[in-house]
Amino acid sequence: MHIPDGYLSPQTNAVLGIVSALTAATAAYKTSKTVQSKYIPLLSIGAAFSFTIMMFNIPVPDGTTAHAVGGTLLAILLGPWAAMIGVSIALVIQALFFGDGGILALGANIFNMGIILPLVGYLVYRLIAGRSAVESKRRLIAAAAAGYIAINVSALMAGIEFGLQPLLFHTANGTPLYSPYGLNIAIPAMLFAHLTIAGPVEGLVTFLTLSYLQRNNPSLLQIRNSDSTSEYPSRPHYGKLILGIMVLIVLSPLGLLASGTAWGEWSSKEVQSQLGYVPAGMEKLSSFWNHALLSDYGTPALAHSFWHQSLGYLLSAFVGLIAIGIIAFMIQNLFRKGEAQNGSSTLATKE
Amino acid sequence: MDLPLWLQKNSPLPTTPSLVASPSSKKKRSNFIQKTLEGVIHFVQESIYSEEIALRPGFLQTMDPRLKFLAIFLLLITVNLLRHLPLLWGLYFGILILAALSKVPSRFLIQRVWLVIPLFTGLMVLPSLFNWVRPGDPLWLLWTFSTPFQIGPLHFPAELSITRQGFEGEVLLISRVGISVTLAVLLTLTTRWNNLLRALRTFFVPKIFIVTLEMTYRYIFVLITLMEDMFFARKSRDAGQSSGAEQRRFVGSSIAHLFGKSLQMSEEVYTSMAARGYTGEIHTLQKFQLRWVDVFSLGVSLMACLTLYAADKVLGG
Repeated sequence: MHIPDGYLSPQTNAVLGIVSALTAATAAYKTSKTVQSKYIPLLSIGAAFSFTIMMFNIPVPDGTTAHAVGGTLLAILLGPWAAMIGVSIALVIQALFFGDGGILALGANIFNMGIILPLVGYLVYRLIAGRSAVESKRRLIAAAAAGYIAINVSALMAGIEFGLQPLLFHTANGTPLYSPYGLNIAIPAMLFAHLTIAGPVEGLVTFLTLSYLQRNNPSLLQIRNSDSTSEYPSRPHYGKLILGIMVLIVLSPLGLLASGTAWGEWSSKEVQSQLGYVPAGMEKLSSFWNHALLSDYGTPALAHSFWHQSLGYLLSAFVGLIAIGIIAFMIQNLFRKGEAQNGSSTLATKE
Repeated sequence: MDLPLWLQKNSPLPTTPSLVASPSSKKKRSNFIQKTLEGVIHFVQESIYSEEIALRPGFLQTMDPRLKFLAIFLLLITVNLLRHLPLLWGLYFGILILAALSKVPSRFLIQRVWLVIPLFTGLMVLPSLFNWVRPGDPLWLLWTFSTPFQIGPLHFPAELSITRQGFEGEVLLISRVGISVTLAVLLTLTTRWNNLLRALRTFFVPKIFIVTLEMTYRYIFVLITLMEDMFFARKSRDAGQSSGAEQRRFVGSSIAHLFGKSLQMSEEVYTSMAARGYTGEIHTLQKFQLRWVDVFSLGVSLMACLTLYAADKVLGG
């Protein structure tokens, strides 16, 4: 489910990136309050653990293998906030160092797998497990259900993100600029794959790991319980969190819509209707630029003339900058000819 | 002495007995232990290879990591905003020159991106080529049925064709994904991981995240070695083919065991940090020094981005 760069528009990525950054900051604050100074080693190793889970090949009945995300498992073991940070950091490392998932799309990936997944997983787990004993069967069922549901909700989010792209971003003749499928195709496609394969795998891994810990090391399951009594004394606290996330979920498509129209992309009609007239000087310039660069350009649109102008300036500045760079490089080389230097470090002025 | 029960039973042979998976036995049933071990080896190989390239004296390697990150980030945004193929491929050409200046083998760069992306992305967006999935102007008419037909609520027109919009969209998407991946690969290959992480601290990312990231990166290798050991141990004891349920139970147990180990390790790391005077306050060594080349390079990339964006607007569409 790692979304690569290019499938989502930069606008979508920006909105999701902001949401993810805010949530990550909240998560860091919450965790630092509960775990205190052991915080960094615990989180680091939690994140490394989360990264490692994603490397396990899980045998699937048809003979192939699949990967699990492990977000739910981490949320059950370490709590939702620490799990958010763990999975998010694992995703950052995957994107930056191993090319799994895009760099711009990091916000979206963190939102889907690093925030929604552990959160939903944890809520479902708590809801089903209730106040049952740590060794109870009910906890195992809760874990399996949580894993299954969480990854599907997360896939649904990805499906919505994909599906919004062709609605918001396409050219005049309908060519999709990013992911081409609308909501009616993207959501069923994403959900189908996750309801049938990835969901059961995630649920199973969560279930098996928990059942092993119940049998062999139940004390590890109580790390959270010991402080959870003091950590969550009242439920309304959680209600607020859920409400906040809901608001974010509702708002994010609105944000997508709002940022969909790029600044400066007004049509000439829009400008005319807003200003009431077309400034004479700009009109003259616009016709000049149309004439100079693209003589047979159809409409003398105001918006286009702005981009024509800026292109001219930018191009000359760009060429100028490169020329300056080349000249400076040559001068430096002349001065430093005697010195034996390797590679581009000849460019260094001071060491 | 009686043989244990598991030795008395006859079970089918394991499919891939040696570490080197023979390509001749292309059976669908592949060994999950083998796959995991291969994944681990691939992971370690990859990180060593990128460290090796990051140590070569090249243009991007000597650039300040902060500005390099910023420049590549700007280029990434531009790649994702452009709508015209000539501009995108022009930029790609520039990126290849940059790679050559940085002594990144361009064959590796091209192969790694263009052998994989068109397959994956192409396959995913393939259905959107046809007017049945996404209506549009016909480009190539493939087939004409006698009547339009309906399956349930889905309505299909009589003509099946590849649409202009679908085709252009697919080419655009593949180019965009491929070029984005190239940029990301270039960043990874030419920057040592600790420098890249420190560079992140300069932007919006809080210190605490960076320190966690740094420690995570180190411990990933520790945990992965642990995991490799577990799978090797299992592999060396593996006689015959175990059932799928047993295999899955093994994976679940190893994950749980790994969790126990990591928790224990985090305790130990914390005590050793505390023993060395860690109070929760983070200090880092090494300050970056800006050189004029770095600022200049960032300027060039910014200008390139703006120029390309303006050109894209001028071309319209």
